[in-house]
Amino acid sequence: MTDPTADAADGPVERLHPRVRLLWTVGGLVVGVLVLVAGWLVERFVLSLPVWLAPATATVLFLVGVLLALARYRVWRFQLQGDALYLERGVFTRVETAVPYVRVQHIDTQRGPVDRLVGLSSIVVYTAGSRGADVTVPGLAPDRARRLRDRLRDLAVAAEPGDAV
Amino acid sequence: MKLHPLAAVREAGRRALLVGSSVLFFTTMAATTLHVGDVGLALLLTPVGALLGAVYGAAYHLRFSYELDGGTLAIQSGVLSRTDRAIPLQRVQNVDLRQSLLQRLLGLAVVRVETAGGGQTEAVLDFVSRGEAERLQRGIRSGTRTTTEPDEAGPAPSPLFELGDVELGLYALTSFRPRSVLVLLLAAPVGLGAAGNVLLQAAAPLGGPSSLAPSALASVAGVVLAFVGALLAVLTSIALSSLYTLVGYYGFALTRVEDDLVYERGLVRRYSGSIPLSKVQMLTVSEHVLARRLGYAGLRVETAGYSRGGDGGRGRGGSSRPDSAVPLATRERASSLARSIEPFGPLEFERPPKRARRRYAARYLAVVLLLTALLYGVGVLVGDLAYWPAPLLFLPFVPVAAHEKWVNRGYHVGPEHVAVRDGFWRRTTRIVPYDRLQTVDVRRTVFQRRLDLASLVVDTASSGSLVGAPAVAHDVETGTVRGLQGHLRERLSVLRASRFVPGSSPRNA
Repeated sequence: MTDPTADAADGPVERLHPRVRLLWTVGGLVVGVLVLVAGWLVERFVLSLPVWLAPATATVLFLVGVLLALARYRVWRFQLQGDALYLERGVFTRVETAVPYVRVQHIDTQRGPVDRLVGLSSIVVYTAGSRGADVTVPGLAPDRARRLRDRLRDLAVAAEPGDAV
Repeated sequence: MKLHPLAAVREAGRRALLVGSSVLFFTTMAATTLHVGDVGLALLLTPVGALLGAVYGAAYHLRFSYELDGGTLAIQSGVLSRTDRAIPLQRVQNVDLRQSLLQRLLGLAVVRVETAGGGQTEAVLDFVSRGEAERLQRGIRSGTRTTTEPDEAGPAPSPLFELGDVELGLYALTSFRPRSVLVLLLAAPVGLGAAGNVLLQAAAPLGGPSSLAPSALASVAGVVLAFVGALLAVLTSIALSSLYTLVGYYGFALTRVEDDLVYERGLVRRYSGSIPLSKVQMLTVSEHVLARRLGYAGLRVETAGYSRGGDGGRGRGGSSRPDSAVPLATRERASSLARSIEPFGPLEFERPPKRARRRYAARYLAVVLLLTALLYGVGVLVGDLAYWPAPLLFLPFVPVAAHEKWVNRGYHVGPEHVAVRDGFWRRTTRIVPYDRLQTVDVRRTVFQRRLDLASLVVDTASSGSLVGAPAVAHDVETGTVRGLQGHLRERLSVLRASRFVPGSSPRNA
């Protein structure tokens, strides 16, 4: 990771909580179950398929989901740099986003039901931009999320007392 | 202040019609299908419903008031649940005036006020008298400026640009409105028989089929028919589009009033709007391939005002898309106007590296081959499709298309602005001042990573319609893109540290 604006003010490069892999795997599990149910419905009401087809598809999709979750976790990192929150993510399309602190409008911490189940939390940073106006950092332990939110808020306030359009 | 008295009449009538007709609908439905009540009761209840609707409409009018003073536009509305809205004038991005033909004859106008917040137009005064509308527009504009001067004391507004006949014609021909396709789609089923006949007749001299029967379509005649049909559809939608634009942009004039650009346009409906120059997020120069050959270009000024979600053309509100500052002018004229809005230097575009062109060629080749394979597959499934190799006819165009795509792409990094350019059919150049940057992304797809290319995505707070897409520099060397990202961030922090702009507006509630 080469960073053009690295200076003394940069924080350490951070990774997500390893348990986020579990969270993302749940997505694959849901897809797998949906395929199983859909397969059963088709079998029952529309036409007869080979018995192994639906379970096999479900398993393959689930495995793909697991691999994707692992890959996403491997790629994901973020850093509080001197002037901006810097994120790197994406398995197929790699995206490196810089959110300048002066552009931050407000910050949420969010916990969905599945988040709560695995004991994780995420923060969402909002800017006034037209596209990608909200940047999410998932997979943070709840008090780490709270600390990060407070830190970002302080950085945003310190960056400029004005508005941010 | 109240809306115009005629607005009460219109509102009462509209609500009476709405409530009356729905009462009629539901009571007759209840009578015929559920056997609750009878048609006599339905006919009795309908006028009652209409009356209630009219009373509600009148009450809505009576309970709607607005006030413009003390640097705030205050609007109170609502019959049962009341809303008091206060809009600080400094935060206003655009003020638009609209007049339908009837409203023009009666001297009325609709005023729409946009701020950067919210998902829709923040204030709609539907409708007031023309004089009052102009007073409001002037009052809001003078409040938008941070230094307040007395109204009407300045010199007479000087016209900056007027759209000539040739430019209007060319603009109509080269601007495409999605609405025309919608009209075509809605009209086609109505006149299906007639459309089919026209199609058959048009295709006949070229060897088209004699009927629309499936058996007649599975041969070369089917291709001819599809081709002629597509051509006719394109021509019709271009014609509709041109007509629409011609009527909409007739008499376009742009004036500069103090720190605002004010435009007026329209043959039947009249539109007028203001663009505050202190709130420009991005300039977009767009050149249709035809206009480009003739040396013309259009200019759009993007602010953070208009709501997202594209063209809300239906209903009373009308579209809330950012309007062109200059629909079409000679290239020199457009660029000198653009520079008077945002002083940027000469743009010298850096093209993507040559291997990007190979990538485009490969992409187009893949599309052609895929189409061919698809047609072949369909042929195998449904029986003989004699014309499955037809897409291969496009093969000679692949290198040309790839080259044109490559030639038209580029980026430019200036002392105060970053500019990106893209597109062959409609080449768009987006010019973003450094202090309007929001987030800056480096994006690399799987294919880009193989070639060590990346795209720079520069987001601003401009309205996210189709034209207001973020500025993207496609397919640049990865190292260069990372450097650019760092450069932009540095410029932003230097600029924001040295300058505090009190007049611009925040998006948070």
